[in-house]
Amino acid sequence: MNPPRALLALSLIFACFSASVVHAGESLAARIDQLVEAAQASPVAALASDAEFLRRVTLDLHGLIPSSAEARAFIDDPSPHKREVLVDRLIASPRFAVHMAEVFDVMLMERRPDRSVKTPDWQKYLQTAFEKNVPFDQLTREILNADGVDPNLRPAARFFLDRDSEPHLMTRDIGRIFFGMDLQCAQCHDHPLVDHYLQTDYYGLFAFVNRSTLFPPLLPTTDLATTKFFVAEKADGDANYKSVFTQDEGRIRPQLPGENEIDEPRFRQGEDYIVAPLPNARSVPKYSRRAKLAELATNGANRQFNVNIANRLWALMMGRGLVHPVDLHHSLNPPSNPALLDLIANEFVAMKFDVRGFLRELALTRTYQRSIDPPTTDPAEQLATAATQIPTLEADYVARKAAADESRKSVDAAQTEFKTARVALSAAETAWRTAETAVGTAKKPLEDSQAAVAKSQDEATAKQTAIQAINEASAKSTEVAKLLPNDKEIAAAVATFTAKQQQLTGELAAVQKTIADLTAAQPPLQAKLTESYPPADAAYAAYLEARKPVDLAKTNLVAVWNRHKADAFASAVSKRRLENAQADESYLASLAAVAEKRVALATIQTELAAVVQAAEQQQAAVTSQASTMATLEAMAAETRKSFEEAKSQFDARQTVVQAVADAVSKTETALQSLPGDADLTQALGKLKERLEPLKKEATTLKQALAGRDAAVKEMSTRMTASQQAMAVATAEMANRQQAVLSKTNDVNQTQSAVREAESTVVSGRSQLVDLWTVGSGVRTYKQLTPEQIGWATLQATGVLEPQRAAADAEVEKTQSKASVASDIALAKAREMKLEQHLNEQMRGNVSPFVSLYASSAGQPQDDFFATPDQALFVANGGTVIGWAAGGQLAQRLTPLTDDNAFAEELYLSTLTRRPTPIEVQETAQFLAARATERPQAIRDLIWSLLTSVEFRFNH
Amino acid sequence: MARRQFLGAITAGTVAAGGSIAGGLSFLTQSAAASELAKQQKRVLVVNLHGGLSQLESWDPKPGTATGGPFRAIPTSVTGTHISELLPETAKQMHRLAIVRSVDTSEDDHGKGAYMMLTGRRQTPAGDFPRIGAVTAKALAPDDIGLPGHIQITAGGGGRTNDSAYLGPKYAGLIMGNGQPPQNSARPDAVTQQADEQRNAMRRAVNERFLNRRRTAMTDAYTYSYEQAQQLMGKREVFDVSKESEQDQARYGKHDFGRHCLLARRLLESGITFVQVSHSNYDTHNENFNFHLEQLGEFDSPFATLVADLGDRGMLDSTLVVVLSEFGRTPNINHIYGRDHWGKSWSVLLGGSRIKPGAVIGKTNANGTEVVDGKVDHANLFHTYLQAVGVDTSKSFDVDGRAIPIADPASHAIQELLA
Repeated sequence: MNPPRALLALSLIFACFSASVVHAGESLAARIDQLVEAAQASPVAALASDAEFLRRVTLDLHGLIPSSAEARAFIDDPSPHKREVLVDRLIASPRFAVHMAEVFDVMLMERRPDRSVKTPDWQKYLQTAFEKNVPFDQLTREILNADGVDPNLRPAARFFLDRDSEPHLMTRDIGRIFFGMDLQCAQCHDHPLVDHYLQTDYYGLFAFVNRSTLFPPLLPTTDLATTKFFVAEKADGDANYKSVFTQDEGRIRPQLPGENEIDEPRFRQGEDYIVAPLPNARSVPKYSRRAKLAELATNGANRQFNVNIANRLWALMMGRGLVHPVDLHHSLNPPSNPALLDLIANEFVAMKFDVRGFLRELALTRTYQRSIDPPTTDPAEQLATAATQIPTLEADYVARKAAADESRKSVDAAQTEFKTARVALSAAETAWRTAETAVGTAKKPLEDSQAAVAKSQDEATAKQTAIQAINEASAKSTEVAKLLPNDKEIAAAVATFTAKQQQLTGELAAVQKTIADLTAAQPPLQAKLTESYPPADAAYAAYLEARKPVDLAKTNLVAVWNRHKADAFASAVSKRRLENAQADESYLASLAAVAEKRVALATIQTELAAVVQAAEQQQAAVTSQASTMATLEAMAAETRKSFEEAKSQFDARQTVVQAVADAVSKTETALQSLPGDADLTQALGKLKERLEPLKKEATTLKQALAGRDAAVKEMSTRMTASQQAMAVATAEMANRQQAVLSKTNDVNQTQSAVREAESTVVSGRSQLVDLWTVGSGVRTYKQLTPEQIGWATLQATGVLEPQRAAADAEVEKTQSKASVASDIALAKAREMKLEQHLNEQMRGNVSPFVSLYASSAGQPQDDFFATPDQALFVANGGTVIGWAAGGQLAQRLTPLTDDNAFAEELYLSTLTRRPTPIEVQETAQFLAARATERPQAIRDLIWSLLTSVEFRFNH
Repeated sequence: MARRQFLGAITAGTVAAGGSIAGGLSFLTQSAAASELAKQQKRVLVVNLHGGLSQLESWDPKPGTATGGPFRAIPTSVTGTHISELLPETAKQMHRLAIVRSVDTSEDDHGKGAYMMLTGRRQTPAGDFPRIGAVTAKALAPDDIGLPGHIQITAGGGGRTNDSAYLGPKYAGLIMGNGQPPQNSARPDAVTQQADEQRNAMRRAVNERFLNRRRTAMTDAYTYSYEQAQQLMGKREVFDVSKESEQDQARYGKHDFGRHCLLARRLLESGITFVQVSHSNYDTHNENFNFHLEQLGEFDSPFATLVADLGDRGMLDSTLVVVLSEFGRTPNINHIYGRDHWGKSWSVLLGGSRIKPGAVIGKTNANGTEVVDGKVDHANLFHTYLQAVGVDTSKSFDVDGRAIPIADPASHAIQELLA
């Protein structure tokens, strides 16, 4: 976590180790950081940890991860300068050259299969270039110029040869790879989607390469396996275009993106070749357009070339181009930080295209070293001002957009003017071309005659040689004839020789006469040819004269066009600023919305609590009412019971009174029949005497009953009142329950509104983090390239170590370590040889990763794909499982019984960091659970880490 | 942009950052609604007859003419439509199919012809185009069924095709060499089921911790690829044609093409979007008639059975069937009874999905040397295939900021073929 301090001083210290340019002022690294940080109104991410930095920079500069030993050493190194020291060590290592060669191989060839130049040769060429730190301009010149003849530079011809030098393919790929412009759609018309790629941009580039072809030419009958191809170039061949939409057509001289058509030297027809194009000769023109392209692209003056490579190297280190994608530079896709792109492009040129020095500067920036963890706090100030800035930004964008639209109109006008001028030129051009053809026609008989003379001369020479030989043979045979005078066969031979001598002498004379005749006839032919020169010269002069207004119109068009592109660019930049501010504003708004919704939620939750309480109170009231009712009911029952008792007493007494009264009445009736009967009279008296008290008793009982009845009635009234109170209370309870339900519903709704608002905040935040990443304030994830996956897996599993030893042993056979021990240069050369050898040796191990993880050949190679067949390969294929089980990592882990030591070795080897306590515990548990199959458990632990996201990405 | 869509597809309903996904791939579980959707899902079957099928011995016979050859034309299940007597079983299915008899691609080279027929464009040196399988997988394949969207059943080999161009390896064809399951789809013996579960649980745990730091579309796609692999392994039976009934295996025939057709049915039924089956070899420069007798004898019955099954199972409503070659064969019969390459007037067979059943489009002259009505080319056919399965071919694919038209914008579909 140590921020690099005293960068300048360090740059000076390490200047002797690298070719880096030390500026009089601040280092490039420091200036880059200033521009990045100035552009970030938001907080930037903290610097990555030492472990993460080590992994990142080793992957970027060496294409693999460090070993556990390297990781341990670096993490534990207390030096505050260790990051700088590491960067310098990495770029000085031969592995850097080997890795960069692969990076540039992929960039330049996009994994096209090799044809004329084999990948090992081509990579070796690039490896040597990076070992020697050949500047990128020179490398480009070698590649664009290569014809495959010079054995030392033959690999450089791969760029053309393995694309069959097909001019449209060359145009597309040179446009994309060297100028960052995918002009493909502009082949058939002005780019329909990218307004700023014109058909003339395409054909201007096409004109540089359409005269270059494969030699021998590629025919259906050509045997690709055995034919050695070269690049030939013709002296003629126009770049004609016609739009499939507008039918606009024209012819264009070579023109670099953003520049004007170039002026070219004129050679007379027949004098325009160093080697003329004959069926068996690779033609070489005196003036090569391809060489011109190499020269003009790389002289430091073409902005698009400089910007492209600076941006590509930036993307290589930072994980994302300032212009993204790296081959879509155009005004409507402006860089995330225009000033920064200018800075790095200009500085790269000022550093004389020094790739190693430039990468070093990038690696030393804080920007490179930022963590992937976004800052946890929100950029309060930036957010606060965003809303206030929007009106200004909006106005700015509207104005710039209007300006761009306006200048587009001038482009249309300039284009019309140019087209008119160009049409007017066609007569003069036709006249000149006709005159040139006339020169060719005039030259033809002379050339034929010269060819015939040359042929006859060859014939004459052959005959002279034959005559010479026969003369000698004849002399010898004459001598033999003298020795054997009677031998008829010898005599016949002498005669034959003599006859042949005469015949050949005659033929020679004839050939010599032909030569003389032909030669004699040549002056008039020469004269005719010479005669054809002045008209052609004059026609050319006239053409040049007539072209002046066209050139003027074109210059104007280019200027107007570039002005419009600048306007459009400014408009796009303004639009992006506005969009960023809008993102800030809507994020802020989403924060406010969440706060507001949370307040509303709190309020409504309080309200809910209140209604819940009210409901609870009512519940209590209902309960108490119910208990009152219960009491009343008990009392009523009691009262009714007393009433019933009284009634039954009264009724019983009443029955007795009635019976006695009946007896009185019956006795009185009997007395009337038996008047005066004493017994009866006595009985009657007794009865009457008894009846009175009984009646009194009954009356008393009746009175008591009436009292009881009144009590019952009163209870009934009280019950009714209580029931009414209960109904009221219950109704109120229902109301209050309803209120609770409805409030609960409100709360739920508000809660889900809060959640929704929170998720808007999360996505807004994630959008901001993306913007910070684009602005280089936060580090982006970078997928490991297929080669990096292969190499990192080999390294992690410890399969690489024995392979390196084997490669070393192989190198030792031709160059022993002892023999280079005393010579630093030799030792370094041996190191390089070892790396190259190892690289070739591992190609077969890495190739399955390339075929599974890479885009198709000829497609951009930086897209990310995660497919199930990759996962199946890793999960079930023999490769990764085999390496995990049988590599040296498994061997190192097997004897480690201490949980901490085991987990540390495992994590340092695979993820280049020490494990956390939780991870130590997790690892130990995994092993314990599978104690009976420890080897398999170790294999699977390694596998789990190799398949993790943390391993798959450079972070 | 593919990744963005991808993220959208798999994280719908989950919180994009900071959330946890370990064990939480429940959004992948197929609901009833999803399987209902799967029924609606469009599919494409391409039968590629390598070498160049003779239109005169198949879809556009000219019996009794100088160019017609020895075979008769027979009536089909569509009144008035006749095809070669070499295809008696297919003839019974013609009410489910349609013929385009007016194909003029003017291309007589095997490689170029095949390229045109499968990409809908002429080959250009400066750029490659994705083949139909990759295009349909990209446009139609659901991301969540745990099976690849693009499968090619070939005579041999394995791995994946290299035919998705700018659409990327995700849409490249998974090769089932001679009908074998995809490479590495079986767990090796050295790793037990339990070990596999344990190591994957460990992988998820490690990932979950790391992704708490930062999660992106790329990291999601990466972790998801392992889940997809697991799903594919779980559904490995889909690739095993021997799981089909003995009876069906007998109906389709035990020879390669029969097995491959049955496998195609199985794959399409399992929800795989694009399946290509190949049959060789129709490049009959000599003995054209004997070879077609033999080849079509092998082709006819399994193909007709497949069409009938797709029809009977209601799958033709959503499945496009195309039978194509790189070109046709010359009407002229050469001195060794052969027919040579011919791109000027030949036929392609289609059926299913939006293709009008029983339609016959276009016409050649009496001896088949020229298209006299309704001339179409590879680009028209390509638009038609895609529109037949509901792809709007006027749209573009967004490939990392580049808009690339799905089909040749200068061409259009054969409207009269589409219902």
